[in-house]
Amino acid sequence: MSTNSEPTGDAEATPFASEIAELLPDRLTLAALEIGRKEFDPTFWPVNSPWSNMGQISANGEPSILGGILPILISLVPSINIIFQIDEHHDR
Amino acid sequence: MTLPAPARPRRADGLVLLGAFAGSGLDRPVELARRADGQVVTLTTLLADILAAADGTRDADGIAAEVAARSGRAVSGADVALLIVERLRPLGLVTTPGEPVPAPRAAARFTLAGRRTLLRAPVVGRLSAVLAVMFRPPVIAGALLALAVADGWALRRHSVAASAAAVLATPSLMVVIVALTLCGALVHECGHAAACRYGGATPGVIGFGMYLVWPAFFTDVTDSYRLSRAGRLRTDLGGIYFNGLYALALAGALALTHAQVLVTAIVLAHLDGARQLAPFVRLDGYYIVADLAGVPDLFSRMGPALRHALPRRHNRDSRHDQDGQHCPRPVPAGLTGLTRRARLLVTAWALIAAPTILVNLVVLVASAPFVLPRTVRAVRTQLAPAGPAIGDGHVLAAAADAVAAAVVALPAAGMVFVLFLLARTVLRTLREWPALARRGRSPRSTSSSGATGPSGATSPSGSTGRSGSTGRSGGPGRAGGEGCHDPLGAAEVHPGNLETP
Repeated sequence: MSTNSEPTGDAEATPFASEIAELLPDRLTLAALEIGRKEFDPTFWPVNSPWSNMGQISANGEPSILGGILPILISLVPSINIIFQIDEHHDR
Repeated sequence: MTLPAPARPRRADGLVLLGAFAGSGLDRPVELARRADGQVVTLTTLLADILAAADGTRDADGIAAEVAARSGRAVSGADVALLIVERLRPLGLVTTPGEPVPAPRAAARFTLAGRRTLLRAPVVGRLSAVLAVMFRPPVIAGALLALAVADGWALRRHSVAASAAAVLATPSLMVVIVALTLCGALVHECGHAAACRYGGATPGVIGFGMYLVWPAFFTDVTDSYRLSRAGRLRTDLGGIYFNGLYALALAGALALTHAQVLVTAIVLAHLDGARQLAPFVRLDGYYIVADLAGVPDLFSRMGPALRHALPRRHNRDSRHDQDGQHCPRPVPAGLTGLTRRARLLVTAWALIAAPTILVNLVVLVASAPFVLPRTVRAVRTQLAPAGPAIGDGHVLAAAADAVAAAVVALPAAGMVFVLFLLARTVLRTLREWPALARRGRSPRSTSSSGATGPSGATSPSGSTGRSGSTGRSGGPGRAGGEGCHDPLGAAEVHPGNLETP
């Protein structure tokens, strides 16, 4: 069933084409948990920022594939860096 | 088979007419109604007037007379019956005795999946009533000032790098950080609920689910649709404000305990708040843009906005009428009825959000073959020490390993979930493609221009001097300026926000 009462029948042929009701989506505020904290990634911080020396504490591998893509914008794959780092650490 | 209109139409049990949608980005008034199950519906004024009059005591002619008395709109009983059958009853707004009442729910793109309730609505109501005091202007001013002072003190006196290093080096501290992050997310949601309550709306449940690739807490603030634009924006920003209050509380705890892990927690609380401002998916930034534009569901308008904004292959833009006058490009259905300001905002949002989402989806698909097998190996690696740790009685270390394994596994699980949704959407589109193509080829059967109602009555919209399609257009079924025929046809001319998601 259509979620909107869009013109389907006789009303389409009438001046009532614009008289339509619409179901609004539930309004859900979200607090998504970004579990692959980019904040721990030394490449996350701007160079020479007060926190850029965090690079010293994370000596494991640079993100090899996805690092650098859209570093500021929301990423749908936030934890891949950690996965690669763990994997590389394991391979060593 | 379409059922005839009931003899004495009656609005559905529990249906509440909420009044005008305030701060709307539409160029004509829109009313709100809420069904007993909480589903909110927007209605044009005529439909709202019919619903208000449909109390079970009047027949269609009586409702038409009542509508005319209320609003001055000339409408016949047959018109009312038609609108009830085709517009109101399918959405469960009017009941027919002896027939089941449909209760369709709005479909929405990029929304939360697998919802589970954490705090029931009455609990959230009591909690938000207590916390609503935090939105009094003097309290906000004081809290923000205190936060600025506390942040300055915490970041000057303590080293974020040293704190983060300690967290990375100590598994138990990572568990603490995860717990504090979870707590912060719940506080964030309480902020939305409290802001919703402060504005006069009733928040629903607080719960959790899966949002794309992230686990997420949520608050149902659907009732905030009936707030003013300022009230809705306050609800949108309430979570980030409470992130700040949470950071303030953490700074207080830091002052008392000198636990360095709290420095990292403070920074993360702020970063979580800032991240919420991203407008591309349904985080707080999305709702802020939607409320600034006055458009409830931006995603439903993304396609029309892109089609309108992007150049076309065919030279359809340079259209002229018979007098050689340039006709503006027709506005697609999803954007008709919007004010110019709202249309510009929606288009700007779509032009930024669509490529961002597309790039992320492409990255997601391209990286899946690499990420998924590596995730399996990484989870095994994380879990390997947990067994011996439990055997040695190191429960905390084992718990840290388990948390780490979950941290690694969840994004991949979310990735699989998104890939599933993508595949399902593609399959559905392919399945429905023949029907869509047929519909696209068939000529528009009718136009509302000059059409009469089912009883031969004059157009109610015409009788009041209002356009049947948009306030901008020259008349029903026309868009884009005088002399330009709307190729979309009247059947696709919506009153603004009325597009099937």
